[in-house]
Amino acid sequence: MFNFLFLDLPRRYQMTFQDTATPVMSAILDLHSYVSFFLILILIFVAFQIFDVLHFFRMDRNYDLNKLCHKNL
Amino acid sequence: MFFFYSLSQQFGNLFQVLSLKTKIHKFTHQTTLETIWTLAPVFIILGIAIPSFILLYAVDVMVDSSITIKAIGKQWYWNYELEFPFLNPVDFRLSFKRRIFDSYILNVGDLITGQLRNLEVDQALLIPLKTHVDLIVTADDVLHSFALPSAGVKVDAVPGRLNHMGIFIERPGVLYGQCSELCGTNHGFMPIKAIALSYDSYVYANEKGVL
Repeated sequence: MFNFLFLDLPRRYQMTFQDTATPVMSAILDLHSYVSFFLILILIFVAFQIFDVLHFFRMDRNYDLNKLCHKNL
Repeated sequence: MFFFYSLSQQFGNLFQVLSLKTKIHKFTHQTTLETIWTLAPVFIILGIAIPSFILLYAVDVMVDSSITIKAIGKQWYWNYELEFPFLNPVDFRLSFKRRIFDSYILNVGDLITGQLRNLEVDQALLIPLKTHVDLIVTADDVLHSFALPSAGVKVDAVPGRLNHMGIFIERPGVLYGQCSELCGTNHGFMPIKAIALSYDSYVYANEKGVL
């Protein structure tokens, strides 16, 4: 009857971990947060670089387009 | 923002240099930049790997356990065997009690209000609080997996093999988990329900055989 007090169960549309009950799970949660920091950092950095490449190499900046791709004699 | 802006100028110039559109530059390397983009990922990976390995090996440390729980995965229910010490209230001697029971899912029709569909069982596994528990997981027929997300447990149940996991639960609660290895038709209908409670309640509830 009072199960919902404890929240150690999957919830509807749950996006995060359940509440931790052991030191091991707390440590896993901490490590996950720690790794997520780098993940978001790299995500922003790479997205920014991709945006840069798209910006600096877009077609209307490429004035001297060369029609030649092969030299088949 | 200024950092990224200046960075974009740097990289933008670099890409224009590398694309060789306008004129040929004399230099072919940018040693400083190459050193940075080689070493920076190395340090990031080391910074992630070291705490990760520390945790990985810390989880495997076996502490001397007070009680042992053996969970046997079967098609499609869990069978638990436990043996635990307690102080006999009659003669005040240390006694041991063993309990073996099956844990079946409750049908939807048998649920009472507030219970969880496909997560409730007829006889829950009891785990005492603040006690080092040695969890031994094995299977009888096919592969199963014993999982309790709140306790940080996910152990494969392999026939003919005993997998160990140490549990130390810090707070009272009702932990739910499910079989986490495809094991057949009713794979989704063999949940794990563990109730964490004080040692006295644990002994009492196990003697009564309820919960």
